[in-house]
Amino acid sequence: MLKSLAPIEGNQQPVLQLLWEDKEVKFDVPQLHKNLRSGERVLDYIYHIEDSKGNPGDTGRLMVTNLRIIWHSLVHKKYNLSIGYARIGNTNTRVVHMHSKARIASQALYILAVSNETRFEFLFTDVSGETSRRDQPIFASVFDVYHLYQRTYLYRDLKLRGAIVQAGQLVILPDEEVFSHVQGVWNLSSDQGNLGSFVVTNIRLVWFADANETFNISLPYLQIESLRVRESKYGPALVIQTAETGGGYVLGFRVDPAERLNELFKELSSLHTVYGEHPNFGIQYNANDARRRLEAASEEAAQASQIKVDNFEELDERQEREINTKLNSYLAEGCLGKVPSQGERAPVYCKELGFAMEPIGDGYKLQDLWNVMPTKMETME
Amino acid sequence: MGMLHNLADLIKIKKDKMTILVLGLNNSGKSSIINHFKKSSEQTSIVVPTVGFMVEQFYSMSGVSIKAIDMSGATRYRNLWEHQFKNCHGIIYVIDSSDRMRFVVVKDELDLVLQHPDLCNRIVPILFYGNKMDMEDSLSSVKIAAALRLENIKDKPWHICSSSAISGEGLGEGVQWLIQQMRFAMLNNKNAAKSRSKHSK
Repeated sequence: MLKSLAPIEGNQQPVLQLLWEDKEVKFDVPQLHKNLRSGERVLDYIYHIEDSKGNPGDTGRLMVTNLRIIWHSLVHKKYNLSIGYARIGNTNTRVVHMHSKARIASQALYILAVSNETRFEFLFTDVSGETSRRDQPIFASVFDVYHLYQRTYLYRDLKLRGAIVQAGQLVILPDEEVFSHVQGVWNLSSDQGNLGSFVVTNIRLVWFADANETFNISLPYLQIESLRVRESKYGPALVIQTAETGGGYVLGFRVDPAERLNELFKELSSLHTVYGEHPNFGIQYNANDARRRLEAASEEAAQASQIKVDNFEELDERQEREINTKLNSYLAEGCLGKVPSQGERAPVYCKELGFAMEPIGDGYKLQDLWNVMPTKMETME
Repeated sequence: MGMLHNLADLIKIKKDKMTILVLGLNNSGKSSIINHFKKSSEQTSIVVPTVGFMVEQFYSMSGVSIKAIDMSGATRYRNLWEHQFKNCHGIIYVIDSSDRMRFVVVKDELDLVLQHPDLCNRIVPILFYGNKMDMEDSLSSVKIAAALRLENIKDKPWHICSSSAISGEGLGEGVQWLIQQMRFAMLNNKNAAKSRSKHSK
């Protein structure tokens, strides 16, 4: 039934879509906000926002995705813009006075972006006209996601000689799964070659030298343009071409024997393909959770500012302010010779102090005699 | 007129590409079954454990072009299965009918597949192969169906048949059923889409 007439293609690798979303600033691309990249997710929507610099007067919507910020006008379909997080230089919020509506103060998000040596300034103003929104952190998700983006560099970009290996073990990122660990991999970047290990995960391929674990490379599948096995002067080698955004390097690795090389190659191409369909950019953010956390924090702060009597414990510091009274009475006791029956007491070794001492009489503790100066009496028990 | 429409639809579907996912535990015979469908000149005599997955392309007798994704059944590669669910039209689930010990694992993995969000609300026909029927201690297809509680699968068409990937016995029958079911499913989807677009107007 299924006898094939001709196989159409073998195990061909699809070329991954080049990741530009986070690395460019774009204006007025048709249907921009509807064409998100695979793996790109909208993490928060902020409504009633105006692009005060470019399109004043148009109310629009700000979309915070895991790769960029998109603003699009809800009045005119063709006006929109996209700012990749990698291009953002500076962000803050300010209070601006809207020119039209009788100088109402409202919150605005200021973004400075640098793209192709051009500096762009953006000012997104809240035009809802609600005074309650002025004091709310309506742009909090932008800052949160931007910080998360900066912290998840390793998911998306090539990293050379990073602190990614500790004690011979790869430091695993959240959501990362290790598929295999291959030892005895020669990196053919230099003439003598470097012996090291591969760690293959669902997000990236890591190689590190056995002799020096700071000599390493963390290569996400996103930055791999092609994988192939090729004959080299060192024998069959795994050749990885990194994408333009990943430096455009050609990396060669040798694995013995050839069967293992082939197995590794198949594994990598499978994972590369799967990653291409379901990329993971590493940013996990839930706007509702974040809002709840923010509310809880502000509530706590509000509570902290109100002084409540039950929250405080009254401390009697009278005794502590004087020089240790117990010591005085102890010394007095010794002078008066109140315990003549014992006479000269034999010294004993005290573990806590580390030397021999006179045994302490009844009713006294070492702590009472040792803490001469007034303290909070919190030293050793 | 309606007849003509249906005919046209059928012809259109024949040009369509169908994607079949081949799943199952390691050593159940997935690659061997795929190997059997290949042209005799391209068949390999030794089948090695698959790493990751392999994609094979076939034309069936009736002119359907079929892309079969042969997934690896090894434990560490099983989490790659789910990435292919979205784009598949049919599933072949291969079971080693002589490996009674791992029937629980087969059941577990099958449940995971059926409950996946990319599959649970779609009509995706599933073909079960009780493979290795030539082995002495192999179970019959009825017994396998009972062991895996296949009768509980209500929302998807399924079919089970015994097969032997070495001799090729039983393979053709199953695939014929699967292709027919995939056609039905596609037709239904198209009709549903049509009626939806009519409603929206």
